[in-house]
This record gives sequence, structure tokens and C-alpha cells, in this order.
Amino acid sequence: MAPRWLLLALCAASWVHAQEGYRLESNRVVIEGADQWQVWESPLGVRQIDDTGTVRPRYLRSETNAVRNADQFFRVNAEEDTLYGGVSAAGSNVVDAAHVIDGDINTYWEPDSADEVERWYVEVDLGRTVIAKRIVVRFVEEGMGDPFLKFRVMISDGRQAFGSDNRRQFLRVGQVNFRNKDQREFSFDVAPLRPAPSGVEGAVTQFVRIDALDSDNARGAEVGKEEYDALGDEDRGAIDYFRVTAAGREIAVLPDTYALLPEVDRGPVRYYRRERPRLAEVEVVELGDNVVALTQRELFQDQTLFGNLLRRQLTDGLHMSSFDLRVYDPLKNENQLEIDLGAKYWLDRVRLISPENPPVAYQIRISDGGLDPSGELVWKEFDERFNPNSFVQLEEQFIPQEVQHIELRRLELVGSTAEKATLSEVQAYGEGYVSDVVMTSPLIKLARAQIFSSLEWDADIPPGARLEVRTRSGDDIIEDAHYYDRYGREISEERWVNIRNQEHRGPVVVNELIGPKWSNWSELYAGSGDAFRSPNPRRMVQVQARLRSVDPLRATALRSVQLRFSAPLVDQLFAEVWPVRGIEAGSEAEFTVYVLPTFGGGDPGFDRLKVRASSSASLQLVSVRSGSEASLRFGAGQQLWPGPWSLSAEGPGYFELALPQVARRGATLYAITFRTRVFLNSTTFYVDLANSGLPGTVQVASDGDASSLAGSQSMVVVTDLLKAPLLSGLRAVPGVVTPNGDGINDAAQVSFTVYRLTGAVHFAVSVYDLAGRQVRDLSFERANASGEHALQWDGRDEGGSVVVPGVYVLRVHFAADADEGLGAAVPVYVVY
Amino acid sequence: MRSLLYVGALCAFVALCHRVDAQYLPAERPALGGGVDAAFAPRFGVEYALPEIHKWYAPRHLFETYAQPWYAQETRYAEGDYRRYVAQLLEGSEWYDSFGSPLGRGWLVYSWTQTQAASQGSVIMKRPASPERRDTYSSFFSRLVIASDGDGRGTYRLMIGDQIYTNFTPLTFYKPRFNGMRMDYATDRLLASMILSRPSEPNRDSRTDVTNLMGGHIDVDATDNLRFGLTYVSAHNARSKEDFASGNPFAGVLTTNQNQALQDLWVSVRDDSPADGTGGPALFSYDIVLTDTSGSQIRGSEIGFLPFVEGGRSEGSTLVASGAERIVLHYDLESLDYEGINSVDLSRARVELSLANDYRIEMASNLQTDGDRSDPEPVFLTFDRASGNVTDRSNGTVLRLDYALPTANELIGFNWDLRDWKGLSTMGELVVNRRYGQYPSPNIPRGYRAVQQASAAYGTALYKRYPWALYAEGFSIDDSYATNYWLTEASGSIRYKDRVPQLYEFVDDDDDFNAVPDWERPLQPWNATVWPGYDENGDFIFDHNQNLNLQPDYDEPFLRFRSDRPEYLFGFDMNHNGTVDRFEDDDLPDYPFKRDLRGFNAYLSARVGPDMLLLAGRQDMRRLSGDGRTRSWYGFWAWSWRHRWGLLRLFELGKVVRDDIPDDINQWTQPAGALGRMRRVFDLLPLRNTWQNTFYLDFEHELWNGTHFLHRVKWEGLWQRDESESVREREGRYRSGFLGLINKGEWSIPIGLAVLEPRVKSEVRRDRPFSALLEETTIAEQTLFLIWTQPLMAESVGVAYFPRYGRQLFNTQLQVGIELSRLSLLDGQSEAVRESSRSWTWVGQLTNKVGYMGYQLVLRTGVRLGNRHLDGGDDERSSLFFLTVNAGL
Repeated sequence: MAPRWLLLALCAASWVHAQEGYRLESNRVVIEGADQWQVWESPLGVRQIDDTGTVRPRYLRSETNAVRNADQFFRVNAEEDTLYGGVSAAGSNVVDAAHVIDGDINTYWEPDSADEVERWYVEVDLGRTVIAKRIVVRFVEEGMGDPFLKFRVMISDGRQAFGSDNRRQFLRVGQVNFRNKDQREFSFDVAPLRPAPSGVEGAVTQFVRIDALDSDNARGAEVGKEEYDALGDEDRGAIDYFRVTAAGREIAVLPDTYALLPEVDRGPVRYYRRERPRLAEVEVVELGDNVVALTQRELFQDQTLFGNLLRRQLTDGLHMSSFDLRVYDPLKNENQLEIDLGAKYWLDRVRLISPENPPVAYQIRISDGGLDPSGELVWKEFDERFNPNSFVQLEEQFIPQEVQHIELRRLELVGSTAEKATLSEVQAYGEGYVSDVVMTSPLIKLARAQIFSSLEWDADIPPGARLEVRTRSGDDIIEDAHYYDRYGREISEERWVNIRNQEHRGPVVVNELIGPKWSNWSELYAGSGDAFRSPNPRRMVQVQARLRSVDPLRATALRSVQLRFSAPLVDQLFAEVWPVRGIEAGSEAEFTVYVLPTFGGGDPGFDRLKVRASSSASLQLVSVRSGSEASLRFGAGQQLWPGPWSLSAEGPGYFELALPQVARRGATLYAITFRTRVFLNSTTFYVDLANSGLPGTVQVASDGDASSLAGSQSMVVVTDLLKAPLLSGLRAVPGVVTPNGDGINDAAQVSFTVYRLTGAVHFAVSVYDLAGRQVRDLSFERANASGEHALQWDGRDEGGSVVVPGVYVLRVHFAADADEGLGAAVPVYVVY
Repeated sequence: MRSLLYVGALCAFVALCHRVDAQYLPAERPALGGGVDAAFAPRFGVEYALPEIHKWYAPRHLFETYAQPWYAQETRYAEGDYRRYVAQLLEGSEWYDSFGSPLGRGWLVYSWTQTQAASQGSVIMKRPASPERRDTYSSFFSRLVIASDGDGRGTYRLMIGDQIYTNFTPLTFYKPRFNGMRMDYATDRLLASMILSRPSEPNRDSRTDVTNLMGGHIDVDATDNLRFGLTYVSAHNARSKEDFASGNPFAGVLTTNQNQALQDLWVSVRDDSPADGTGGPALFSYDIVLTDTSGSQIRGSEIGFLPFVEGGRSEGSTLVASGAERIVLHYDLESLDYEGINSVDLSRARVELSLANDYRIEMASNLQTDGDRSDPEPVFLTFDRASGNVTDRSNGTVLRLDYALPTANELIGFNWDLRDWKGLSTMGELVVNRRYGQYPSPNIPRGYRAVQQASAAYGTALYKRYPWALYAEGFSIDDSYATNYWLTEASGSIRYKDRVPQLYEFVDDDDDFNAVPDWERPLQPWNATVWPGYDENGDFIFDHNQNLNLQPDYDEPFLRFRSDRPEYLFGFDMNHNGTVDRFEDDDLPDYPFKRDLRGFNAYLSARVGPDMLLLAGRQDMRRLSGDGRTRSWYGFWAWSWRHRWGLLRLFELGKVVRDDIPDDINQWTQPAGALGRMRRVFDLLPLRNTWQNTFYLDFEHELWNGTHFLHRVKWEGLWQRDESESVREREGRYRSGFLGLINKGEWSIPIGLAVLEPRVKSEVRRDRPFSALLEETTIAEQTLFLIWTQPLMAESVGVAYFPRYGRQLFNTQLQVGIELSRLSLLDGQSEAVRESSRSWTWVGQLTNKVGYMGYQLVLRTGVRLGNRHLDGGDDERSSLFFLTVNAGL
């Protein structure tokens, strides 16, 4: 059994890593669980992490029950009390009032029968302003209690009446004014309480109040005597005694009177069960999630910044706070309200809510974040809208589309200074998953540099959704210190130091920034388990996951990410190539790669060394030598190839050398010389070390100062192709073909050279006669387009028959965006 | 010895004179001319040289101090009759030329001197701080001073003014309000102009760092119908502290604040077509090559001076950035200290980028900022862009870009004009734009000077052989072609980003041709309200707003009879954005063709008789820096038929267009019940792949004397050729267009001296916009007018002052009019019309015309009452009382 301190330590370590956003194990880094995902950075409100630790893009809901998450919203009132949403008041039985919004139909709030009916009310604070479309009131199931005999439903937008008591104004949206004994579910549609344009649904709501208006109290339901006797004291209601007149009419009498009545006058005795008015649930069906408040509310909470005031008032999700918009100045392009949602949401409407004096003219623009060539946002502009009727709820509806930026411009109608435009909220609604969520891990730090071998993830990726993962790695970090005074204002370090009274100093927050030697974000990982794509070995790594959705109703669910790592083959490995400039394109040139491995204690070492290029041109190994810089400089050093090292593999764009034994120590500089041709603007060479005893572990050399014999510190050879065409050197040898099968000039060898292009290209090669008819199609495709290409034409047509003697034109053509030199032709003469 | 004493005494005397002169004259007044040795200064009366403490006892003249005549003998001016106390010949001060010769008594009207090497050496004065502080330049001369002379061979004219209309060629210089000096010279075969200005502050002040402008244009008639022209324009920084002889002044110098050690250099590589989200730049490698003042070159990669790279993502060994992504290389030049290199000693920094695809390279530095004093923000300026929108890396190249701060912008142009040589007429222009920049290097006279070059050219040709005519125009204007330059502030800094661009424009934007630029630039007038093309009568007033009240006349009572909405007018739309070209207002310099476009347009026309024209043409143009191409075939038929019944005009235009080059414009909009305003109208590419037909017909005639009728029809239809699904995705309508019909007539009935004018106007318009977000509307409007004009005291006849708006033949007349209107919104709703309405308006006015002090005064007084009843139930009542006086010649 592990000692208790060890368990505590493990728990503490686990907690610490949860705080760091990852868990470190012996050979892997694991990110899983809600605690760890929470630490990953992403724009506010764009993702949701469930209890199982699965992270998804936020789903913007439509027609949701606003009471269910009321407790997640809070506000600070004038007394600086923080008030959370939930049941805000109950006139009776305050303890059970919370049951009306707990989502459980079996729990309920029952007002105390001893209280006056006037006190039978419950008030729900939704925590924020919603657009209520419907309010559903549910009472307990039959057998569990009774509905309210009569009741009404009222709502308030949160504003308080002007006066000494500051009471909220409630307006009735539904009422049951008949004696209801049976119906247990009521649904009240909520229309705008003040005049609104057609098509605008719902009412501005923050508080919902249910008032019982009447009760049968002790006479909830009549029961038989046996049943009455079986009731508990709390359920036993009234017993009514009746005298029967000669005409058969029943008159209620007191029990004592009843006892004195002759038998013939005695009427029935009626027993009642006490009424059990039990309100189980209140649902407020709102228009949907208001994405503006969800994403902006926290951004502008800082009350000390005046610049935040307008945005805070208009995006805090509370109708009770409002602000006067200034008139948009089109010349200065200022005074507009621009809201950056931080990510693209599927929206279909923007709503403006005003307490009074709404804007009489306005314009709304939306943007999905796309940029124009000058780097400015591309906006979709809606028509200028006018509000001559002073509607306090205004709405711009549009077909569902991705929106990241919303801009509101208040326009001038009559140019009078008396013209006001007071707004309390800018809201935006829609439905669907956030289409693009970028989450970035914190810096994942290992104790020492390691080789990250692969990256795996566990995720559900439905059709219409994508998961894009990339990484970056590095060794250095920059500590960026921020100094604050006791009021939370950022100050300079010098000023912070000069505060003599240390109690008056605020905190010092040190942010860790990646250093200049970090790599850029890698290309995307093709799939889970893909090889690590950032430079190795490194001590630190960062992972970025991007959850993308094309279909608004489908999204990636990401559960975990793992990074596997192992010890490096050598402690440090630098390489540089020479020369890196002045290379003539297409001509063979000799290059030397200098490789400097530095071993640390216990490094497994390497016995395979591979040199590869970013192009497919063949690499012809010339020599491999090792030794000190001085010896290599003068052409000395140990000759390793030809020699003890062997060429174990070679192919287009690479060769691999095998060492006779594993190199584990020493500070040897290797000079690997080879010849190749470059056809690209930029050709990158790589040096990979491997150890046959550790399959799957490959260490790629970093660009760096391996030797003073090369001054590049780079593995990139830059060739200035200037205005060279993409296609050149097309020729056919011999120019005269005699396809008579004598082995002499039976076919023309056609060759041409392609520059600049990367990736696969289809080369359309055709032979035409002088009438323009195509007689032979020799088209082919190459995975690496740049380089020299060769084919032959044997003087035959598509059917395999020898063409008639004459002049033919062989034309090469391929598609490229740059429009120079795309096609070339060469004549071929056929004679026999 | 005696002569030495004499010379010494003379020198002492001159020095004393100079001292006293300095006491007496305001220091700013360049009485002796700039840079003239004091020994050649004029002599002053001996009384000025006396050692008086109270120098105000010195004899004065009334004209010099009449504002404060506290020393004068005679101060009881009230006792005499009114008279001019100062003889005109005695006003002002005595002025001298550079040789000391007197110029005569008067005022300094304008002075511009540039003394080098001297601090604050560039001085312009239009309101000298002389004792009388007389603003002679603006008050006497209305900001324009002209000198001229000539002989039998030629004449010249020299003008100094604030608002000189100056136009060289459309690609080089067009400023309707040029502020500076202009000299024109003309002979029989030669026309030449030269301009000089200090745009950084042309009105006043002394400066060390300035932006100067110098330019000239010459046209030579080679033959009677062939003219060649040359143009040169240069705006450049000048620093008066610098010796004039140090280098080519047209290449400019760095200003004092700009010529500091560079500390930070940012290189940004981003997608030049970010909207497509793909195919952004692929950056293979990067490096920096530094040159120090000794000429040694240092390659960054060789000494480990690497940038801090932000943004982008790796694809193999390549950095890519698509859409909104941006790769930023940050070179911290101060960190070179670790290598023993001081950034102050650098004279050149060249960035080498090996890259491909659709790139845009921008650079910024700590010296290239928005000029904010407390927290300057670096401003990125474009240094290079890829041509087209290459996405397959087939345009791979190695760019070598020298970082330089702008010092000058230069245009060198050649133009020709051939008029009717055997039926051929052609004209065109070719301009090379050279933008100079310099690396800031304070330790040497001049850091490395870089030059970026761009070109612009166009040519038009017309060949006529009756009845045929062939017209062709070709053009190519680089995206980087620039006809503006930065303005230097007094501090010597330049704000590269500001709400108002701190630029001096060689070619202004004046789409409404009202001789006032349409864009806001420092130190020049401008107007934001632009109604291009609507000034057919050339009075510099928008034809649809002749009363300048910012409400279109077609929406105003009574005025609406004469004014028809622009939608009913006919015109060509060769950029296919849905607006007739001559009615477009953009934010671009008024080049004859737009920047960043290359293409041609040609048509063949035939005249069928004198009144009919048939035409067919082809247009093809594409953007140079990115995606975008316009191709169209078009045919046009015009017929004008004059008959005793009247005049009929007909235009029929059909075209098939593929256009995906957006041409956004600004447009005046007049929403219902609101202030009109200029608004940006985005080109939704309604003719991306479209058939368009426009038919226009109008007919004017009279039924009998005193009547006049006009009928106007315009029908425009657009049929999209793309799949309907594709059009729907663009939120467009498959079929859209406009149909409008106007019928109006008026009758003038003389009744004695009075005139009764009944008028009627009927208007129907149906608009189906391409944007499906806008409603389809049909509106009918009928208006009846009745105007009674009654002359009063009809003894004499005056001159019509406002002939456009009524008969005003008598000096005094009373006019009463009533207008009844019914507007029916038959379908939909538009921004301008929300609901149907009916209205009446009553106007009564008394007009008087009388001569006064050589001017013709027109006095109007009256009242206008109106009522508009909306079908929704609301009533809008309005009233207007007016009493106005206009003065004219």
C-alpha cells in the first residue's frame, strides 16, 4: 500500500497537470478530461465541454428553456451584490421554491396553506434578458397534488418603476380565471408586450412570476369517510354537515347543530381532502441562445474602463442597462458599434432592444470574417432601416449564414440633437454549431528534449465536420511580466518597484511567450496516429485543434489527444548545406551537407543517416567524410564513403547511408557531398538519423551552425529562376524518325524540363499532323512536376500503325496558374 | 589708412542701420529679400539711426500708424469732413529687390523663400505680420495674383493662387484647386506650364522639413493635327537644413524625424486574395542582407540574425498563409549589438524572400507609423504584390526588396493627340511612375536609395469612313501606379495612417466636375456630397437639386414637374455595376481608366442616315493583381426623329456580359422622411453572367401654342445566365429590371398681364432590383399643378434671374400655386416610399427685382403650406416662411 503522502503527492501532481491542460506520462502526453480542456485557449463561448470530458463547438440553440441555466447568469446590483439567476422570491414556502425550475416534474413547490393566498407567488429570475415566446406552467401529476385553482403568469423585463419603492413592473401574459381542478399543464404564448414590427416574436423577459389567485384550501376534493379517516392530519380537510329541508334542500350547519338535529333532518356529512396546490415546473421557452451576450458579456466586465461602457451596456444581456448610441459618422467612419463574436456562428437574425427612445434609423452589417485584398473585413450590408413608429424591438432577419462580426450604425433621420437612440441590448440568434473553433493548448513542457513520434486523438467526426490538428515545438520561452497596482491597473515595472509600501503593490503576472526559435504551426495531421510534424527533438510543444463544421447541425466531438515521445538519438543535431545561393537552375551542382551530432550521456545514437530533398531530382552521392573542421577544410578527415559506410537505399530525391556500428559518442563533424539539380525556387534538404534498434524513431537535423565551413545555417537552397519559363528545353532526338524496325532512329526521344511547379501535374503530350489532327496521345502524369521529363514516340498512331511519312508536330501542354510558357511544340519528321 | 577708416566707419554705420532695422521691422518680414547681404541693403533716413531710447519719438507718418495715432499732432478727425486720411500712394511700406533696388511702396502680398542650409528655411507668407497685418493676398486679390508679359513670339502668365484650375493630363496631374505658383507660356506651336507648390503647408508658416511639388507640361504641335506632350511631376521631401547641392532634389530626402536609426523592421506576407481562403502565399525561405556605412554586406542567416516569425503554418519546409492568415517576420535591428553591429551604421537593408502563389508583401518599421506621439502604431505599406491569383506555386520567385522610407514620387509622361488624319484620330498617354525611397541612415549623408517603378498607359483611336466608324481603346494601369505623395508635418514626421490620409494627390477625385475634390485631403477644400453626372447645364449645381437644399427636386413640391428621377435617364454602364457610368461617384483618382485593369474596348458603328446609328462592340478587361475579368458583347441602336409633331428619341442597348470585377460606388440616397446622405453602394455583380437590354424613348411635342408635352419610357431588363441555384446563393433575382413611364404636359395661358399655368405629371415606375433582399416595388404618382402669376406695378421689365423656375419678367410679381398629388404604392415597399399617400401644397410668393450698387437684387418673400396624408392614417403637415435676397450681376 502506497504511503499516504505519496497518494497525496500523486493527487497534487494530477491536479497541477489538470491546471496545466495536459497529463505527462513516461512516454506520452495526454490531454483528456474537462479540467484539462478548460485550460486550452479559445475565444469566449465558442465551445462546450460536457461531463465526460468531450469538447464540442458550442451549439447555438433555438427555442430553449431559459430557466434551466438561469443559475449560470449573474449580475451585480447597485449595492454591489452579485445576484444569480434562479428563484428570486417566493411569498410562501421559500425553501421549496427552487423546485419549480429544477427540471424534475416530481419535485414541486407548495405554498404554505397557512399563508394568505396573496402570498402564494413565486418569482423566477432568468439571470439575463431573454425573448420569451412561450411560458409553460406544469403542476404535479394527478395523485401527487392539485393544480392552482386560479392563477396568473406575469413577466417583467427587469426594469423598475420610477418611484420610492423601485418595484418591478410585471405584465400579465396568461391567466386561469376559472376553477381549475384537473388541468395540470398550461402553455401561454407570449407576444411582444409593446407594439413591434410584424414578424418580431416574443417579449423581453427577465423575471417570471406565478401568482395563485384562489384556492379551495381545506376543501380540495371530497372524499369518503373511510378515505378521510385514512388521510394524515395534514391532508384532512373540512367536514361539512348539512340539514335537509322538507323540500330536500341542503343547508350547511355546524357540527353541534347537526348533532342536535332529529335524524330525519340530518343531511349528508361531506368529507374533504385538503387542497394540495403543487407547482412542479415553470418553463420559459425563449427565442434561443443570444450569442452576443454569451460571447461579449465577460469581455467588457471591467467597470473601470469608460471605453467599455457602451459595449458593456449593450452586450451584457440585461435589458435594465442601456446606453445612447451616437450618430454614425460616415466620413470619419466612427461611432458605430462593432461586435466581434470571436468565431463564426450560424445566425439568422440580429435584434435590437430599447427601453425607450429607440433609434429612428439604423443599419446593420454582418461579416463572416473574410477579408478583401486590402485586409479589411468584407461586410454584408443590409438596407437602411427606419423606425417611424418607435418600435422598441427591432429585428434584422436573414437567411442562416456564418457570422463573426456584427456592426450597428445609428443613422440620422432629421438631424436634430433631440433625436435620441437608446438601446439596451444587441442580440443575435441562430441555430447550429459554431463552424470554426480553434483551441490552443498551453505550453506542454517536458523535463528534457524528446523526440515526439506521433500524435493521436480520440474523436467523433461526422460527415460535414472536420478536425484539424497541428503542432509547433521549441525550446525557449520568454517571460513577459506585467505589473499591477493595488487597483488592478497595469503599470510599468519601474513604477511598481518605486511603490515603497509593498502592500500597495499589486500582483506581478508573468506570461510565458514562445521564443523566437520556435517552429511555426505545422501542416495539418492527416489522421490520428500520424507522425509528429514539427521539429524534433524539442523540450516543449504546443497543440492546436480546430473543430470545423460545414453542416451547422454536425460537429466534431473531441475526447482526447495524445503525443507519444521517446528519448532522442543524439542530444543535439544541426546541419547546414553549402552552397545555398547562386545555383543555376537545371544544371548539375555539387552540394555539401555538414552534419554535427552532439551526444549526451545515454543517447542511443544512430546507425542510419538519410539525406532527402524536397524535390524528386536524383541525388548522386559523391563522398562522406568526417573529422574536425580544420581537417575537413583542407580536404583531409576520414573518408567514410566510399569506405566503411554503405549506401543502403536510394531513390528519387534521397539516399540513405548505413553505418557499420552505432555512433554514440564523439564530437565528429560529417561532410556529405552529393550532386543534384534544382528546378525549384527553393529546395530544402533534410538529414534524418535513425537507429535500426529503435524502429520508428527518426531524428531530423535542425538548421543551424554545424560548421564554419558553411555560412548558411540553413538547409534551403534558393535558386532565382528569374523570368525562366515553366517549360523549356523541349526537343526531339532524332528529329527524323524512320520507324522501320531496323533499330536505327526507330523512335524519337522527347525531353523537356519543367521548373517551379510542385505537386502532381498532368502533361498533355500529343502528336498532330499538319492538318491539325491528333494522331497520338502520349500524355502522362507526374507526382513531382519539376525536373526533366522524357518520353519517346515511335512514329505510330493510336491504333499502333505507322503513320504516313511527313511532318508531325509534337506538342506538350499542361495547366498552371502562371500563364507564361505553358505550351511548346517541336516538329518530328517521319520518313521511311 | 584713410580709406580703411572710411570703410570701417561705413561698415559700422551699415551695421547700426541693420540693427535698428531689425528693431523696427518685424522679424518675419523679409524686407531685404531672402539671403541678401546686408551691405547691399537700402539706406534709411539718418533719423532712424539716432540712439533714441524712445524710438517712437522718431518721425512717423499717419499712414503707418493710423490705427494708433497717439503721437500724432492732429487727432480731431471728427471736426473735418469725411476724407481719406492716407493718400493711396503713401500706403504700405517700401520694399526692395535682391539688389537693393526699391520696388515701390506697398504691401507684401505673397512670399515663398527656401533658404538652405538653414533651420526653418522654407517660409511661405500670405499674411505677413507687418504692422498693419493686412491680409492683402486674400482680401484685395481674392487669393489670386497674376503677372504676365509677352512679345510677338509668345506670352507667359505667372499665377499665384489658392484655387487655380490645373490640368496636365488625366494620368499625371489634375487639381481643380491647385494651391501654389503656376507659370504658363504659349507660342503658336507650343504650350507649356510649370507649377510649384509646397503642399505640406501651402498657406503659411516656416518649415525645415517640407513636401515640395514641382511639375511641368509641354505640348508641341508637330503638325496642324498632331500634338505631342511631355509631362513631369515630382513631389518630394525637402529639408532646408540640408545643403542644396547634395544630390538630386527630385529624389527627395528623409525628413529630420524619419532619418533616425531603424530599430524594428516588420515584413508581412499575406494572401492577396483573402476572400477565397485558399492559395495564399507559400514562403520557402527568407533572409536579410544588411549593408553598413563602410559598404560591407552582412547576410542575416550567416551571423544568426534571424527574424521572429509569427503567423502562418508549415507545409513541409514551406510557410503558408491563406485567407486572413499573415506571416510576419520581425527583425530586431537593435539586437545586432550582440554581433558588434550598430543599427545606426547601417545604410541598407534588403529582404530576400523566396515565395510563390498569391502574395502581398508589406513592410513596416518603428519609423513608419501612424505618428501617434504616445503609442505609435507601425503602419504596413505594400511593397510588392503577385500578379493574378496563382495557387499552384507556378509563379515562384525570389524577391529582393529594399526597405526604404518614401522620399519622392515622380511621374514622367508622354502623350499624343492626332486629330483626323485621313479619318483617323488617336490620342493617348504613357506614364512612368517612379517612387523613391531611402533607408534611414543618420550617420552618412544619404542611405541607400531605392526606386519602385510602375507604369500606366492608354490609347484611343477612332477611324471614320462614312458611314462606318471604328473606335478602339486600350489601357493598362498598374495597381501600384500612384499619383500621390505623403505630406510632411512640421515636426518632420509623416503619418502613414490617419483618418484623413496625409497625402497630396496629383490627380484629384472630382466625379461631379464641380471643381471641388470629392475626397478629404489635408489643406485643400473638398465636398462630401457628390452627384456625378447630373450637371447637364454646367452650372456646378446638381441638376436635381438646383435650390441646393439637399433634397432632390423630384421630391419637392412644384419642382418635381421639371425634374425627373435619374432612373428614367439613359446612359452606358461599361463597368456593369448597375449604375450609369456618368452618374457614378467613387473614391478613386480621376484617371480615364481604372487602376489595376488592363483591357480593351472596341466597336464598329454605322450611320443609317443622319438620324440613326447602329453600333456593335466588344469589351474585354481583367484585373492585374488578382482575379477578376469583364467581357461583354454589345449592340446599340439610336434614332432621333424630328417631325412637325415633335421630337422623338429612341435608344436600344443590348449586351451580354460576364463581369466579376466589383465597382463599388458612393451614391446619394433619399430615404422616406429622412435626411438624404451619401452611401456606399456595393457592386453585387448583377451582370456576372447576364443578358441586359435597355430601351429608352422620349417624345416631346406641342398640341397648340403655349403647350408642351413630354413622354418618357425606359425599360431595362436583366436575365441571368447562370444556374438559378447559383443566382439564389448570391441572394440575387434571376430576372430583374426597371420599367418607368412619365407623361407630363403644361399650358401657359396669358390672362391680361397675368399668366395661368396648369400642369400635370403622371409617373409610373416598377423596380425589380437584382438583390433579392430588396423588395420589388410598383409606384404610380399623379400630380396636378396650378400656378397663377400676377405682375404688380408693371411699368418696367427686368432681367430674368431664375429662368429655370418660372417666368419673372416684371420687377414685382405675385405668384400663387397649388399642387395636388396622389402617390400609390401598388406593390412592395421601397426605402423611399413606405406607403401610399396624397398631398397638397400651396405656395404664395412675392418677388421683386431691383438694381442696387451695381448688382441685381432679387427679393422673394412668401409662405408654403403643405399637407401629406398617408394611407396608414398619419398626417404630415409642413409650413415654410421665406424671405430671401439674392444678388447677381
